[in-house]
Amino acid sequence: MATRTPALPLDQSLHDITTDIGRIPLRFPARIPWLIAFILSLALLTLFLASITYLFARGVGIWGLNIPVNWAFAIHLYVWWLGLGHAGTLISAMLLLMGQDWRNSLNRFAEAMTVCAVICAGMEPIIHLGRPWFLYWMFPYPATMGVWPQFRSPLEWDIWAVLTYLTVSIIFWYIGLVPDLATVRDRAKKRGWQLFFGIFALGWRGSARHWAVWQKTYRTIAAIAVPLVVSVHSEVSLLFASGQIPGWHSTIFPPYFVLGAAYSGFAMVAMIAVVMRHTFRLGDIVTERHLDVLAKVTLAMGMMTAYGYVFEVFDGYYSGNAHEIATIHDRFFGIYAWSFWGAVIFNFIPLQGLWLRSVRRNPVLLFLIATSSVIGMWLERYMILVTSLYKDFLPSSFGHYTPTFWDWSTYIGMLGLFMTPFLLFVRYLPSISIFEDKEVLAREKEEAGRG
Amino acid sequence: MAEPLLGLIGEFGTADALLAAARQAKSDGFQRIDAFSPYPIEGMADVLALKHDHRIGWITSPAACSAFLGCWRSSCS
Repeated sequence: MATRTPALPLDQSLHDITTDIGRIPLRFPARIPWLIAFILSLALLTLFLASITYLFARGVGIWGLNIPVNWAFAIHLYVWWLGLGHAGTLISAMLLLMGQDWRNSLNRFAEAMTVCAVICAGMEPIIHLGRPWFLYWMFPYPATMGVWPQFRSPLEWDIWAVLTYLTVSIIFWYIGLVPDLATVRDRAKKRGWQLFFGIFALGWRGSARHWAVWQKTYRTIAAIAVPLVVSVHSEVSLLFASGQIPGWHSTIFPPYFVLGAAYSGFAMVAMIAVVMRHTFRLGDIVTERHLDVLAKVTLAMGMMTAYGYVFEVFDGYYSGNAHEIATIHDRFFGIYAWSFWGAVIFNFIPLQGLWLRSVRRNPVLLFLIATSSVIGMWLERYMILVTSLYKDFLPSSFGHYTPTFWDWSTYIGMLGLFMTPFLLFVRYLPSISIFEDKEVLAREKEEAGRG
Repeated sequence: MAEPLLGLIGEFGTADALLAAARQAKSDGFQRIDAFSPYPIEGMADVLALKHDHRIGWITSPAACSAFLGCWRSSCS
């Protein structure tokens, strides 16, 4: 086999990896930046709580949505958050099953990002319910009222998609974490930490029996998780595609949405990887090669998403349907054209920089390009939702949509709902997989030894 | 008075050495052996001839079936 560039520098020992990563939860290196970020995210979380308290008191009328744009920020952001989450599963589960080593430095925090993003995504339809206290009506429980969920309703699909995805993501993340919790448990000096990590490490000792059971479980859950990415985001796209609104009613939606989701998610993982690498000085664990591969995957996903754009336009014209064509023209030139062109510019112009190796390996540029992609995908979801809804078939029912203060405060506050658990995870748990990196390093050393 | 032998522990530098030692111990007729490693070692389960444990499957499969039937039953009522 041709010699590959190793993913991890060979001049470090297995023990260096344990120390490098294990020190983060035990002797946290970046207290001040973390504290600043945490206070900021708690402030955002407070804004979110205030916004939804007011929302629950007054109802969804405080938002800018109305007929005809009756789905707005809540559903737009539901799609956006869920999309961000998908990359974690793809990196962790799909690349695990494909035997890609480089995932091992990225999978843990990507999975944590998935869990946090799915929690935020799940909140969106709930706060959009209007009467969120009747949420339990969506569950198929034997109600004395004889109420049974309407399985033909997209809202019902959301519940199943999000709950399944959340459950599988948490199980997958936790199973992968167990061996590392044991490592941190053994290195902890304080009794409290020993107990905390000890309980969640489930008595892990690294025995061959443990590893055999663990590998089987981990791979099984991975095999369950990968198809979920496709099915969950296809479900999300069907919320739109099963409606007859021009601009939505298209079979291209499921692949278009899944690719867009993976694209924004990989960009998000790249952003987090750059920040973590810089803050914790993990240059030996998350190397330039990792950034390079991550950038390549982002580029590939971005180009496939661009293909989706082209075909969405082509499909509209090809259909010959006057309303479809009108919607496309409206996206190009209408009052919401900024969201279409914004999506095109933010998504695909900076992205082209990733063709260059020097840009891919430059953390600052990669971070900026990834940020642009995440913003671009945000605009894309907005564009798909609003430009289709505000003008449908009858001119008499045309309307328009402007987000209100409470739309924005709920959204910006929700960033706190994402950041708070993620920052706690980074602070208190091994945020990069220790044992999987050791496995890679041991194998690479062996290969290097053989020459 | 000799103490009864409770067990033996050896430490090995590499995965290959550990694997070779486990193979040796197994072929020497030792039954109750185990190997501890910081990451999963390819082939170790085969060397130690670990038995497949299906207990969890026997618990979860009937539970899943009965949950499904329960849902189905309550939807028919």
